[in-house]
Amino acid sequence: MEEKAALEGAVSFNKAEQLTMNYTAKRNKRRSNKSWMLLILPALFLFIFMFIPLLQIIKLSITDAGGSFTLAAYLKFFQSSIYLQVIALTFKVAFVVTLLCLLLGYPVAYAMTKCSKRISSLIMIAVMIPFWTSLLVRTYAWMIILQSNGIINNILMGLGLIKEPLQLMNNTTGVYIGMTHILLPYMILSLYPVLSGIDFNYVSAAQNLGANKLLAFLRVYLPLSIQGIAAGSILVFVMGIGYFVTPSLLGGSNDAMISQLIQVQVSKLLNWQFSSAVSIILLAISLVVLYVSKKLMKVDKLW
Amino acid sequence: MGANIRLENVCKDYGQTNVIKYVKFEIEDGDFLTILGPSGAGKTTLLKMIAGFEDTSSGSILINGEDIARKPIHKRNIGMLFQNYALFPHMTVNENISFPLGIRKVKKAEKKERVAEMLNKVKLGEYGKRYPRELSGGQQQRVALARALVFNPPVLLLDEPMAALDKQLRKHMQLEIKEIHNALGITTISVTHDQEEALTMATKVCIMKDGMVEQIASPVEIYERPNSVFVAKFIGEANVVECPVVKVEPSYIGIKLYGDNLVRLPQKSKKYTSFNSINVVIRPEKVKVVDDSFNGLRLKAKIEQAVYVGDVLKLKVRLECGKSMKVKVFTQYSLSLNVGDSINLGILEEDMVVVGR
Repeated sequence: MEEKAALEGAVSFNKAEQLTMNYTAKRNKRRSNKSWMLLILPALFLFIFMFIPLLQIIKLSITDAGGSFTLAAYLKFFQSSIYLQVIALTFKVAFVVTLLCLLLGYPVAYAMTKCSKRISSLIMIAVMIPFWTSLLVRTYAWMIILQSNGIINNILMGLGLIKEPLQLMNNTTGVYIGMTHILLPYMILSLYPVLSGIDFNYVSAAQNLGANKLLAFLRVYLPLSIQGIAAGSILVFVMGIGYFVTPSLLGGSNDAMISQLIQVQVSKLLNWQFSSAVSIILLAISLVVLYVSKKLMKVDKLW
Repeated sequence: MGANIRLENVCKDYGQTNVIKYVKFEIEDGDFLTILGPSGAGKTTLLKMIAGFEDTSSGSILINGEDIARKPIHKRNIGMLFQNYALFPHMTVNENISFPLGIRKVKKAEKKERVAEMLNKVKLGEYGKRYPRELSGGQQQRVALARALVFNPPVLLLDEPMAALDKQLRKHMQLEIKEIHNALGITTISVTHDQEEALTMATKVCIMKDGMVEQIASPVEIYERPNSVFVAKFIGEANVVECPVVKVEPSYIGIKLYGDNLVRLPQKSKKYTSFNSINVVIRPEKVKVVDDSFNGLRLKAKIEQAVYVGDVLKLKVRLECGKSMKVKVFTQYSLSLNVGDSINLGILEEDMVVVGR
């Protein structure tokens, strides 16, 4: 008797659950039908101003001067060691800048979660002001600071620490410094919400269970912040791959990045076919990076 | 395997405010101490000081004679059940429980064995590969308990252990934790604001108020012999009457209770010598509805309010002296009582407890 009643109870519970589920599903469906309409305008905008031009660039990259189909531009790119070196350098710069941003940004984001509200909003302002300042202004400011008779070299020489001015710009060092400074806010802004969402009780628990501060950080806090690290790193890396202004102003002639290659091909050599091909390659690389990192970090499935 | 814990004049100051004031007590190996008090009494702060999350401003905390008040958290070797359990969300149940063993560099095979043994002890043998978010509240608590006990700490701290559970589960887990405590004999300190929980689980109850210990004693003594009005009112219900002292003798004192009723109370070890008035506590359930044959203090009363709560009937009565009194009677004897009825109440002298303040 009891069993039967329990069974009936379970059945009716399931029914009720199903009903609510159906209801929610229907409601969601209805709602999503309507919300689609909100997307029409932006979708149209993207289609006209981004998708169509993109198609044109693809078309440009695979047609020669006579208008017939050819993959010559792509072959040229992948057969020349110079262009592959450009790709390698671009990756190297983006990787180093991502790492520097992470190393500099993580402590800042962490400090923001730990200090008083007043101090943390002060830090936030300090992060946001350069973020809102023009990219060009900031890059020129770095030129003033880093040049041979700039502030840093003057101070170091004045103190007698160095005899010759350090070569801080017109080389990869300048690119690292400039790009790290410009991309750092993106890292901090990606890390902060994740770090501030971590319950510090987890760290307390780890310490209580015998872990010293370093171990508690490495085994508990760091893994819990992996989402923020992933989001910030992907953002900085993908932005870094396509960077143009800063590397061309602070970098040397020997270390051109991929976007500079595109610019030279378009404005100096008027080689539209080749520059389009390189653009598509850059786009493809960025997409692959996004895809791979999404596959590698199944973080959203963890908790 | 447990430990003896002794607190000596433990203080905690935040600038000018003293949150904990000269707390001292001692509990024995295997005791289950529950710290009870209103919010702001400092009970959680005291627990955090023992665990090491708050530093001690002055005084010592001795575990088996060793002062740990200034030891870093991770070297204290104290098990703790956090209020929200603080199970690591990125680790499975097995990984959570083996965490303290990994830190202590326990060998792999032994680690596995001890985790499995602990999981069985908390009746979650099959759940090792799950993540905490896949478990119910009660199961999460058991995992947290297993993690806190797996490294055989001599002391277990419980911070509001039942706060996150519903009432049904709460009773169940109370008994389960008590069972585990009995089996392991681990000295346990629990913080709660639930007096029923305190009386159910503890071998000793400590009542705190304003950062100080009001009374520390067995549950029975706390309830039957509270040493202050605060304790009497905090644990259970109580009628507190201020009584003038009219006679002081070496073996007894004479007081006037509820009007002009003269009562003789025997002198206790702490003798009363002055004629200052004293407070007498009478528990509502000790007051009986009686007839003229009752051999004790008899009072005439009128029922003003009667609330039926199942096993007992809660009465509010007005006495002849004009004072009101709370009375609890078992429903099996009292179904005929109604508001407006005049009744005779009887109180035995041994049920009148003299308290300070």
